[in-house]
Amino acid sequence: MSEQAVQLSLPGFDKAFGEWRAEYNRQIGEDRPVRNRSGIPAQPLYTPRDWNGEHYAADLGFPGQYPYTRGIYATMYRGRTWSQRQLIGLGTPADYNERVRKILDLGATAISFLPCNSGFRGIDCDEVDPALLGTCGTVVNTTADMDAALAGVPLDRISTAMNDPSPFTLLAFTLGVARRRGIPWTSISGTSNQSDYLSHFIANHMFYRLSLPGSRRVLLDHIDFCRQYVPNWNPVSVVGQHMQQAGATPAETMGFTLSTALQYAQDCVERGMDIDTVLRRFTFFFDISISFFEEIAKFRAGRRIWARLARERLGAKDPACWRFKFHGQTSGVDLTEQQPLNNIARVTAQAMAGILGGLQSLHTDAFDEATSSPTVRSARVAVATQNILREEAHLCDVIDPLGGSYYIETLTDQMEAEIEAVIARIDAAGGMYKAAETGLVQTMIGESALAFQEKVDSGEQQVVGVNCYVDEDEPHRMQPTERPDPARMRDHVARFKRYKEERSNDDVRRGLDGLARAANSRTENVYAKVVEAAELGITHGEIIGCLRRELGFGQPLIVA
Amino acid sequence: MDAPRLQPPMRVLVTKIGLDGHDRGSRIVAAYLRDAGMEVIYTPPWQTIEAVVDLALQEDVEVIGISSLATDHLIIPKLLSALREAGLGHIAVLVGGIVPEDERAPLIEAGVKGIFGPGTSRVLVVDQVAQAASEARRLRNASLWEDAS
Repeated sequence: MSEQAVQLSLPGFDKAFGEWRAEYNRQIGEDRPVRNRSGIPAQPLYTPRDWNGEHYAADLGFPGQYPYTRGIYATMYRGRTWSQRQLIGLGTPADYNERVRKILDLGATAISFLPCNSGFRGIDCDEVDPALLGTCGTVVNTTADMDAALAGVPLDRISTAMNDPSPFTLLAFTLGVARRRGIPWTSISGTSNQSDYLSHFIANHMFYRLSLPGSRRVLLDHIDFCRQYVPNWNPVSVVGQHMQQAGATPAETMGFTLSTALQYAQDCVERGMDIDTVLRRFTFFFDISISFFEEIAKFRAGRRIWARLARERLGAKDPACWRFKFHGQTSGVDLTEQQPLNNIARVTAQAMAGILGGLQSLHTDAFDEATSSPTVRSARVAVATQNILREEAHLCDVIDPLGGSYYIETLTDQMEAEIEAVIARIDAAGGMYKAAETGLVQTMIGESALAFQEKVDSGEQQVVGVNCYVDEDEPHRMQPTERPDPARMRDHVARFKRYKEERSNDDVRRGLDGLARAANSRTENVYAKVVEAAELGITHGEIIGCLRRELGFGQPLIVA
Repeated sequence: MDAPRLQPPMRVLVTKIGLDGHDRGSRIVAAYLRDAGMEVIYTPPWQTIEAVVDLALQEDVEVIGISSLATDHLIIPKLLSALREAGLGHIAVLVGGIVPEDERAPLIEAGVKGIFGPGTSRVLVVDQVAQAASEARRLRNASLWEDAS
């Protein structure tokens, strides 16, 4: 079809449009300016004059076709709906096991694992105030702990998303468990959900860090190790979530995330890895805010930009590398402590934006997310929200149902331009590694966070129950907070201390020596030694302690 | 009429203790207080209780603002006893962030002077911190006077 043929002549358009515009202006008087979170202004109405599909084939294509704007698979949700992947983790390994087995009994095929914050800080359970242990995740410090946490879980048939930052000890423990159970590593599948060290430096201050160069090295070794020995594992999940939660706008978030993916891909190539082998295992992880249409456009634009970057800039030939596979989590920042049941409505809108944006896997927040880790009741509502959207709301009947909307397509193009401008700025700064090292990204996020808060404070951004529709009589909470059982946690810590005393000192020395040697060698794979150390009974805290000494410790850059 | 007296700016330590690192709130509050003319000492997250007590002593602060968004509020009573033991019982400890309703009372009983949940306005935060700082200054000056006499 020639371009001429798709140019719409639109008989009668101009006259009718003019009449509507005049009537609109008459009724509305002084129109209020409307901008989305990324700063893009919104007109009151979109028409074929804004978007007419003349570049349909190049910009949209068909589902499963480059550039994948309409979805990365030909059948999308008609073939298979998104995976429902709820993040869980609380208390001791035995507590986690009880919950995860309940989920598996209900038919889940994918699980997730969230470690205790002490794990994120790089320390073991015997070094922490016991009041804090297991309150935000499960305490797992050894292969034996992981064995208990995953008792009865068929590791070869269940895909696992691990919140497992560098140096990926949780995967190392899991591989140890697989070896004990005679399960080949090639049948282990899942994702290292927190492998994106740059996002941790920039915006997730939850985690301990190795130095920036140390983190870079360990990630590359991890990718290389998985490529060889755990080929069904996704070693890289590039995370936009932290940055958006920290205050980056949706467009900034997508730009930073794609720049990060470019950085990791280029690092792999420089290490001599084949781009087509590594890139097909890249996955992405995003926050879904309540800015409904903006999020949908963010994902559609991100998909298109990634396809072009992967093919044209990185030179990947396998279409699997061009597909932008992403997990979405509804945004906790948008939830309110006030009137907590309102959050069910917020999560529903966020989840719909993610689904209409074409995600591959989804976590819906529980309504009490703003105050605590989910209770059993609130977790059930979060799962039900996904079930209702999938089974009752007819969201899965038509692929990319908003494609072709004058507004959505215009906004997708506009978000694309914004995102590309962010990528260009990061390119000019020398890439994402440099931009994080110098604090450029942190400064940009800080400015956006403050600007958003000022909008909330001034009432320009309305938040129900916070700065409008406030109900002073509303009780904040309906039920007491669930905390891990202190007696069970005390027993666990006591067992852990005994375990350390009863281990073979020779094994510990051998494992840590090997790890330290690898860290200082230019040729050895340091992650292979992490896996070996885990199998020798060395703890999470000990592995990290060793790598911190050998590779250096990294503090986040705090910018004003 | 009293001669005009110069009041040194109020000194506030904004910090996070324990394991959590969500610092968007503490950074925004620190900026609010700084813009209101206070001297703000800001630390990254994960401070130990001992480090906070040392810093409060060295910097001679009147208010400590603890941001807690996960479960770190559970150890705030331990901070208050450590402050008292160090002779810093006059310092007002305020908490911002997420504290579940059923876990507020133990903090107030331990001596926390105020808990500010999400949605607290900028004006209220600045005002409450200023009041707490004046009160702490009064208590400290009174105790200095006692020590001297």
